[in-house]
Amino acid sequence: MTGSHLKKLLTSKYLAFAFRLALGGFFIYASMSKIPYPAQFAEATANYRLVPHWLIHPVAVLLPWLEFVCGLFLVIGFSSRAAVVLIGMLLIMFNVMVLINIYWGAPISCGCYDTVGEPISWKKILENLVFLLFAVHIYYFVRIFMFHRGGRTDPSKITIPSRPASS
Amino acid sequence: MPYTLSIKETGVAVLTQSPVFKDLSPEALEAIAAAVELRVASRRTIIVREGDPGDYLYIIRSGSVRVFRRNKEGLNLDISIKGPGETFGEMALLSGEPRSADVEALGETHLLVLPKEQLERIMGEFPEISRMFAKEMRRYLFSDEKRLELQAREVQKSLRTTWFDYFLVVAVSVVLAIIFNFSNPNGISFFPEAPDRNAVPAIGPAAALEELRKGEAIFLDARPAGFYQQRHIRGAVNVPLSLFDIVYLMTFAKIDKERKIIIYGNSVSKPYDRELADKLLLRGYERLLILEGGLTTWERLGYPTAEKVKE
Repeated sequence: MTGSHLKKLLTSKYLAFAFRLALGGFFIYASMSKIPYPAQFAEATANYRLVPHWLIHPVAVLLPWLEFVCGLFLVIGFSSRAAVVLIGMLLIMFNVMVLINIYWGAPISCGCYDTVGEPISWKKILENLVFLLFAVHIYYFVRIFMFHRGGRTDPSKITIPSRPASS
Repeated sequence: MPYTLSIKETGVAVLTQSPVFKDLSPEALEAIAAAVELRVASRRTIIVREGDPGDYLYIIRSGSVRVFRRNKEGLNLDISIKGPGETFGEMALLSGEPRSADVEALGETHLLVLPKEQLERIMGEFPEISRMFAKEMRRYLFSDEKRLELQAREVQKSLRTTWFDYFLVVAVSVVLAIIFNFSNPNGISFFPEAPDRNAVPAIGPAAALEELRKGEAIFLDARPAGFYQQRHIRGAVNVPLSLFDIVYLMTFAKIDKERKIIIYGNSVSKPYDRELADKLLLRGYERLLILEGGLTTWERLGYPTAEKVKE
């Protein structure tokens, strides 16, 4: 495969769409097990010992829904770029929290999909980094199958200023 | 004929002021001025219509005109506004093509009009006029390019994600979360009441160590099992909050309520110790104490700890 083919594939809008489905689907899936049981998720969040006590419950209620809405918007293409930026920030935040706890040697589980779940590990960090790459790609190449693009106005409705008087 | 002279004088006056004509030689200016006719267009008059043959060159003496094009949907697209000294109609005249746009007088507009044959005759005599028009066309090209650039920038700007997009995503999440949490049987309160700080007295690490040596008090580790297994105060029993009911039934029911109980386990995220103390208070335990500084201070002081001992 030549370099230009590779470049075409890497910058493909179809690839961005595939990533959108993967990343969005993953976030929706991850939110599903947490949304119904906020108390368990609050417990899992508290285990990280990074979120102050008074914030634990608001985070436990809001975060899964933020994951869900971002994932959904990403999949259907509604303000996808805003959604993917938020997802990127969440992924970075998750990774920082996991990293700190790995450094502390905390014996906690991830709390990512299930309340019981896998213990935190370098695999998790790597997984989040891969998803972060997806997010960056989507941000730059998202173009097709968009329900609502977001941004200021519909480009077709832009008025063009008249020609300045020639002088 | 004084009348003709006055037209010619007017013509020269207008042309010398015009940014388009001002660089021509006086002879060329005079030749043009001698050939022009005066015309007045009242407000809203369409002077030139798209598709008509180009028969005149127009020079604006006073007033202004709007050059525009109608698109397929019948909407008017402004191309430019022209004022005194500027020309219009030269494009069709020079190319021989039909008029490419409509021109409308914006107010009462006084014009100098030069018929096609006259212009061609004078241009034959003064080639500098052709050069002048070439420069004029070049100006049009430049300004159109600038317009295109401006338009491209507008399109780009419109695609940029705005704060409103972020706000929308977050707002939808917050609204859904609040509504769902409200109707969810497993919902939790946003701001739970923190256990009363003064409900249970505290005990300093040194005094607690004394109690440990005497062996009369029970030490309870209120943290989740994983943390307990990693490290705990030597001899402490793990009572994870989430498993309180089971552990209570299995081990605590038979413990003497008069015994001193020292509870520890606290983090920025959760006061495990005080929450466990609350539960025990409810079950009738009265001699409860909370270890000041928890395990962190205990370890820093070098007091005895243990790792999980396999039973």
